[in-house]
Amino acid sequence: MMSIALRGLATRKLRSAMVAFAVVLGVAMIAGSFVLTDTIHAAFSGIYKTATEGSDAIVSGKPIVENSQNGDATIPQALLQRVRTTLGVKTAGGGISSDYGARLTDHNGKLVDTNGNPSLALGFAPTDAAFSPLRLSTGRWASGANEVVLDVASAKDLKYMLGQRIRIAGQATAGTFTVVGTATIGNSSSIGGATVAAFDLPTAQRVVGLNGRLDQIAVTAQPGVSPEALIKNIAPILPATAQVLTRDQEQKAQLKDIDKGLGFIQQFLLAFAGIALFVGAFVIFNTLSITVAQRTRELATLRLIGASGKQIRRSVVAEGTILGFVASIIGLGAGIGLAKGLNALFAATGLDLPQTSMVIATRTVVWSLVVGTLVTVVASLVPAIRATRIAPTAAVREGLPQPSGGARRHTVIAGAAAVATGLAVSCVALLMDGIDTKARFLALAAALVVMFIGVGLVLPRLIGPITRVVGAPSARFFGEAGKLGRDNAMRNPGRTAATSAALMVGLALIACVASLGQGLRQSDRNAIAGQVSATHVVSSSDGFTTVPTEVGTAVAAAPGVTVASSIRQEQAAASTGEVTVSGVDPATITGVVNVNWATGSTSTLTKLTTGQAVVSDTFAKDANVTIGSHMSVQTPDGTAVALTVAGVYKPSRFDSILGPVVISQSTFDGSFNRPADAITLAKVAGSAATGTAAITAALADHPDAKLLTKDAWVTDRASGIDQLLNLLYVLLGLSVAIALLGMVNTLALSVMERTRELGTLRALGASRRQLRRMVRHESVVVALIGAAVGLPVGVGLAALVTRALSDYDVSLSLPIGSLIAITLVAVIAAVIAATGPARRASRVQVVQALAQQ
Amino acid sequence: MSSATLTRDEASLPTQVHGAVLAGRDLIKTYGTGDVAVHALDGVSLTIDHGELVAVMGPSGSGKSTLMHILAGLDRPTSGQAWIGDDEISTLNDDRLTEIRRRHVGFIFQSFNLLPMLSANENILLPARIAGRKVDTVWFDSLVERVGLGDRLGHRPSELSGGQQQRVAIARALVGRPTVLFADEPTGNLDTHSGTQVLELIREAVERDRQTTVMVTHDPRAAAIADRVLFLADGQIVTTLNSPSRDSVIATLAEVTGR
Repeated sequence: MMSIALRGLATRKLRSAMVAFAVVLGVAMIAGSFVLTDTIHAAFSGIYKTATEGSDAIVSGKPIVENSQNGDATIPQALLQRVRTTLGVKTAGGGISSDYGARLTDHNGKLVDTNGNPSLALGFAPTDAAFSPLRLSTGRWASGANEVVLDVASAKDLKYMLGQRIRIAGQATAGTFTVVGTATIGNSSSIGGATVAAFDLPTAQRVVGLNGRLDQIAVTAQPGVSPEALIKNIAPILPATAQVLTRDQEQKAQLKDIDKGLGFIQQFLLAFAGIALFVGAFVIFNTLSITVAQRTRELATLRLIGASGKQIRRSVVAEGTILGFVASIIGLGAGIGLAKGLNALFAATGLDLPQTSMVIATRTVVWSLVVGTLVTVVASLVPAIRATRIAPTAAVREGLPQPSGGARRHTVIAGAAAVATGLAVSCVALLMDGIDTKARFLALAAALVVMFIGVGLVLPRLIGPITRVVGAPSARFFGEAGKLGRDNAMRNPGRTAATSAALMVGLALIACVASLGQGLRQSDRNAIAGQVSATHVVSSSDGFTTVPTEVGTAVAAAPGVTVASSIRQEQAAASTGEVTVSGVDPATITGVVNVNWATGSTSTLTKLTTGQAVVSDTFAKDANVTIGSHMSVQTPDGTAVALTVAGVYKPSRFDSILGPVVISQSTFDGSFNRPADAITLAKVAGSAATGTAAITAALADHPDAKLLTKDAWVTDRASGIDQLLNLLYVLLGLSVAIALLGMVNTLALSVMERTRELGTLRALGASRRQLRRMVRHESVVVALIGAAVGLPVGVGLAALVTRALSDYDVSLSLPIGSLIAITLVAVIAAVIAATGPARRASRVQVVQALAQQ
Repeated sequence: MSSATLTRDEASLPTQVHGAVLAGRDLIKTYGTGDVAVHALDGVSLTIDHGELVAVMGPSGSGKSTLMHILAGLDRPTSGQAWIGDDEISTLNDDRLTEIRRRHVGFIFQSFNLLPMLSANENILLPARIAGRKVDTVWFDSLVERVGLGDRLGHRPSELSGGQQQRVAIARALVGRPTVLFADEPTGNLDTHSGTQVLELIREAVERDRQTTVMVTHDPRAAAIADRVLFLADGQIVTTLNSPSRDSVIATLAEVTGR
């Protein structure tokens, strides 16, 4: 029987290849996800290793506030001298390393867009170059107030030659520096999309606003002193906000951060691999079902000559297993290529990741092969069982058996039950409180799988009515060929259902994402538009980092500006965890921001004094504070800020301009090390255009600042979600592509089994074009069924998610345009999918077709 | 004799073979080349007149099916010419052949070849719908009555007996008033009773409508309703029998097969 299975695969090469392809894509996704993340891990590991090569121990600030833009706590420069004199220390060098410390500009003075990647500022004394993570490539190290060394990749991309001048925006007004050298980071020419600017120590401190402070001190041990002994000696002299780690510990700590992010990326990609494989399973199931049906006579003959039902089943499963295994091997290979593609995809959406040579771990190979094969085998089980039901007498009966009229009663009941269960579990997973996020996601995923399978089981019963509706245009406007195409879609409901169900899954998820995206965008618009009463908004060019406080001063001084108020922002540690602290100017803030008060009034803000805070109602509840309460927050540098609650406000739940803790700028600037502004809001007298011109002129020295009118800013901020949406569309597009392969498969097989019928149609006067059209319309109708079921399911799912997010003021907004676009794309794709089968149908030779029994 | 006295069909005849609606000249059909070449047709010439029912007989492999396919424009001869009416079909491209089939040809198949997802009624109307032609409803009704399917028009092929299916197929073939009706073993898949009904319907079309018909058959009973029987062997017409009877057909067939 095994040889029959192999022989069968060989004789049905094209069909087998098409089935295999459905698995290949899913497996490639799995392998690609692993290879990509493993490779990035290896790349960072390499960078950290070389970056700390010259040292045995590292002294740095503790990570007090994890999400601070300024990073960990800083350490006083005076500490360097004490470390140098500590027992066991041979040498020690202090440095600056600030993630968003130095933003480069191009030759036109325009800020370089790093797509959210860091713009590193590094600083160290030329004598301490051994401790620098950089390796000089050309020129020399920077020295003095006006020199800089750039990373090789940035210098090349921006076309800076040695001796040329570059404007760099730091913590204050942008300065101009001469490029005196280029360097690699360890051995890499770049760290993903990040840029690097290296200065001498005092200059770096000035650029990033850290006078008299350092980010870290690198230490080497005297001969015979172990790193462990070294850190034991250093630890006692450190302030409470600093720590000392051996080189190994430091590397591990840094890699842990990276791995946290990579773990998320990996799971994210694997989720889409899962979706792709799920859709692939539909395709495999359907293709094998058709194959079994078409082989009825062959299988019955096998029974007739003595094969047992068990043998038949085994041969079909064996076919699936071999196919799945071979496809998984191909998928593994394709995945390694895909890893490169995925990296490009992330790069395109602003997530540049560093690369070294591909890392292919054993885990990658095992998972890819096991999952790919297993999915294929599981999908082949039902067709295999069906094959055993073929009676031996079918071998001597005339013609193929008529397809059954659809799903049997108990199948439909089981399907309906599955849909109900899936729906119920989704509701619980999304709406019930107190479930952790991971369990929520897993439950939701399982529920969706069950629900989609359920829909697939019920669907055969619904094919008739749905086809009559979605096939109406084909039947009415495209002549007899259109009508025949529609009828063909209806004639084998089980087949059509499985084919369209595969497409349904992808379309449903895309529709869900589109609906959520639209809802979030709309909610964000509503949320932020109402909070701001300014005419112009100045933010950082990327929209999420901060700009120097000088920007606000410059805007306020611009002619025509009647009110300008900037909002400082930084993360701080509070009793409830990390909170965003906003620093406002009491004199001007109420002129540009609308606040919704729980306890307090506009005058609470205008009279906000040093040491007072206005907090959000949720923060007040979580931190258990009320008017008059004393509380304390800790800055990233470890400074404790004592505050008295003066008012409670109700922020927009979705996207608030102000953080949960609002303090005056005098309090802010007195407590936070490097005060910087998130946005500056301005009102201008006169036309918006005049205002724009005036403020633009005032910001000439601040290339890192971005000026927008209020409306443009609202749109810009709300479209922040678009990049994520586009990434999701691409990843979901993969499962739609697999479903389309399934459509090609089904159509090709149908055309093959209808050869005689096609010959008859030709004999009755149908033209080739009419036959092509007939097949195309069948394809379009199948796609429309997928859309007709998938889009409502997707929108419903989005409604459910929206309901779950109702606490955050998210509302559902039906993306009519997107839904129409999705349908159109599905139809066009269906036409493309039909190309091959249609051509094949039109090339049927009448005489041979009629001779075929 | 002036052309005004000719019927429409006669007027459209090829000049080479006056009096015929269907003609073939020196038809050769070869499959394969060199030593393995098989001559399915080896120089066949024939003319079939308007209103004539011609049966084509011969042993398996004699070339009778090939001949019918070429005359119906389903297949092209390796050399030689074939005409339906004025059109030399042996040289036409696929689109023109499609048009010829729509205008001039009706088909009856051994296995009926009804479309399973269409009702009897829809099957009958299918050729007209494909061609985008209006159906002569009076003619349609009279055909339906003639084939005796009035009450079964809404049924699918799977709900009809073999004889009923073939009667639907006859109505489908005749509804467009084809220049030539081709029947390929029309009784081959039927019991005696149903076969007789089908033959009566074919003969009736010839008698009442002067329907030119070419029928390929193995069945002497079927051949006996023809005006003329052509016997093929090894790709050539070896003998012709006018006004045949069942017995004369059997005798001739034995002679042809025995050679």
